[in-house]
Amino acid sequence: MQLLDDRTLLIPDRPGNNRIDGMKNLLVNPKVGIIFMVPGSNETYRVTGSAAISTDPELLKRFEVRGTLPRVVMRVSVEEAFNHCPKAFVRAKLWDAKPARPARRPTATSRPAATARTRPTQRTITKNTPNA
Amino acid sequence: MDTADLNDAYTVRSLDDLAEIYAKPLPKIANKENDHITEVGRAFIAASPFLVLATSNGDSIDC
Repeated sequence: MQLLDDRTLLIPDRPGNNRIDGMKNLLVNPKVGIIFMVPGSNETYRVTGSAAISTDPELLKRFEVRGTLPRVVMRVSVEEAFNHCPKAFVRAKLWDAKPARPARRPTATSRPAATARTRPTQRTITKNTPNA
Repeated sequence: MDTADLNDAYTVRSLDDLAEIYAKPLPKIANKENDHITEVGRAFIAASPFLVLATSNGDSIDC
């Protein structure tokens, strides 16, 4: 994201699953709450404001990545901005926590995670599709 | 827990109820909001690779 000025944030939309729940909400109620985090820091920066969804080409091209533009940019007019030192980060040792190994890491999705044994390898694909 | 439980005697329902539980914050904490992004905030945002954004349609919240 970028700051247009000290009262306006620009947040590009990046490819997702098209549920756009957040954007549907903005059409009815523009209020947003944002928390910025920096890995390793036990502080956060919090911003509240009102957001509008824009297709302005001048804004989209600010976020071009390898020739791809975002579909929309969210313009947020800042109402309040302040730092917050959530004791929860300290108590949770959030940035100190050692991540669990992938096989033992809990997942929030109900599908079983793919494992190295079940995922087809490039060698398997070329072996079975000689004309590929 | 169904909604009937939220009307029991232990449910906090008013600002006065909250004031009985939580002391007022120190003035410099209570008044720390700015109405714009400060220089310090700008630097923090520049270093931040990640943000969480919440919206609401008045009925439900998306985070």
